[in-house]
Amino acid sequence: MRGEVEIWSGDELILKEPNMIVDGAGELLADIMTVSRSLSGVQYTATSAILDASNYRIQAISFGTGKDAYEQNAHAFDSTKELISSNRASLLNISGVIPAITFISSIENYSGAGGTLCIPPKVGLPVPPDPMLTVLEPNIKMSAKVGGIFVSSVFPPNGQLTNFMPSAIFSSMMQNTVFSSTVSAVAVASLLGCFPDASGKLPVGSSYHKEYIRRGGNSPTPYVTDAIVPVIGGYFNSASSMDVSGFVNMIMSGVPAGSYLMSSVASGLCMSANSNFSSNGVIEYSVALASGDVGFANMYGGIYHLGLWTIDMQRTLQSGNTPPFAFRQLNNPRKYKLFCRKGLSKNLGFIEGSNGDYYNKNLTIKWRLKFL
Amino acid sequence: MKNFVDDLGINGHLTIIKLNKDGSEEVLLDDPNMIVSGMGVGLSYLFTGSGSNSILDYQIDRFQVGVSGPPAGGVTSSIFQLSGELTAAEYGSNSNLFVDTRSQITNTTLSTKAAALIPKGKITRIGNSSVRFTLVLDEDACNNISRSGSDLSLNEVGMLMRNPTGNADPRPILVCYRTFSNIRKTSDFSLIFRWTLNF
Repeated sequence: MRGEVEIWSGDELILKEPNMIVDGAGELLADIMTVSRSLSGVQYTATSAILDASNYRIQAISFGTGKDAYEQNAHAFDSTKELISSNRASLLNISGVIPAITFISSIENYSGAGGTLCIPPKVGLPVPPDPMLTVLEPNIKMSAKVGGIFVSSVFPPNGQLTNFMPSAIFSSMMQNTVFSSTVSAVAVASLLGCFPDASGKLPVGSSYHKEYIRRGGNSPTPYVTDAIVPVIGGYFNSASSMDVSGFVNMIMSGVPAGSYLMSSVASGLCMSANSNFSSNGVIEYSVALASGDVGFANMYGGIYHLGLWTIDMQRTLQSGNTPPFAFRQLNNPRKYKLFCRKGLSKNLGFIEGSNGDYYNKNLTIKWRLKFL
Repeated sequence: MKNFVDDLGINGHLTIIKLNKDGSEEVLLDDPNMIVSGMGVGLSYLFTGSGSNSILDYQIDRFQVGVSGPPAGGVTSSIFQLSGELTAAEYGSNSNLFVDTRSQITNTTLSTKAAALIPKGKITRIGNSSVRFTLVLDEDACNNISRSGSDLSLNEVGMLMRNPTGNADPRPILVCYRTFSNIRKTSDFSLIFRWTLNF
């Protein structure tokens, strides 16, 4: 176990554990040692830019959960859910707002006061620590269908929580696919998840962004009651710092998005070190999750894995991209290589509470690597 | 918290081969080596974005041999220089080595020291996370070294990262080190250091 991860909720430290450096880190260092020096003599900028050191630093963080979660929670879309959806035109006809829908056996903890309701997701057993892992959670299957077509046949799972819910992302991603119709696209985006759009981009007063449905009664007509949580937004899509694959960009080495300051952990992954870094060797990576990000992730299985990623130069080049590899939410040219990961024994999305205090809170992740 | 270099499991293995003129070979050493703190310093500069902007400056591209190993304090990861590295002239004017003299980062100071560059063709990736450096002291290199009238033998070797701080005039830093039994180098043989780093 290597490195150290701290999770903060406000000024409360809720988790502090070591992490694990995976084999990808060693591969990165071997890459560095064997990059061809002859590239420096190439006048073509796109080629010599391969030598830019930023291509070999940690550039992203992502979040994942156990593989069983991808068959359940808001990832599931069975006949009952389809029936409910078809009977509730409002659910899938809200332009630009994608609901996260999940079934629960009980909603008694819901206080109805708004905010980000927290219900334990069904996850199973997340993959145990293994330095040979190249993704956060391997062998994920997703059996949800829309219109009789497996969603995973068009958008195969990539081992982590993805970011399909903002309208700009899902509408673009669904173009020219079998899910291009609005209803299908919304349904597919609702299944893929997992992070909400920016609160400022959501319609004022909308109350269908996150929905818990309690199933009961006799088949085939289920007895259903809803717990509808008002609109909540997330940091990642406010700052456009997460791509569709779920990678949160490292912003300190580039121009930050929007009005966010470079030092704001709400605008993406930040890297920092004090002036004595060359003698103490400590580098800290930090990122903030809004309560909406945590709450939505919880709808899709919670957060049981964290991963820091570098750019996989070979795969990035083989994909037809030329450096510099500017981060983009859609069609991100960067292909990533897992550098280190952290498996959590407790879901970050679940906060214990009482007397109506069952809501997710903003979280800050501080991940320190010590090189000396 | 354990340090990154230890925890990542970076380790090295050094094989020293004596290659005689008649083509016969003799293995003089086949042992692990020591990764020193300079590796962590160099990687700190890379990952903080505070050092060089060129990835080439984080490569191991040079080596030194010396005559005063092992160091007085023992071989530890805090070693930042050889105990008695060769001067540029001692590497031999007729050898195939290209010797480069630079200000080397030695703890918190700089010291002018010579090192032999490692040809690109002698750096080979032998696995997903393993790189082999083949350092060759040919028949004309480092022969019959003597200082103050005393004959000296080679007994230490180290490899250096090129220029992690990104200084305009490259400042190398020692990243791995190994001592070995005295070898009195003559023109009768070449020495091959086959150094494998597993990251």
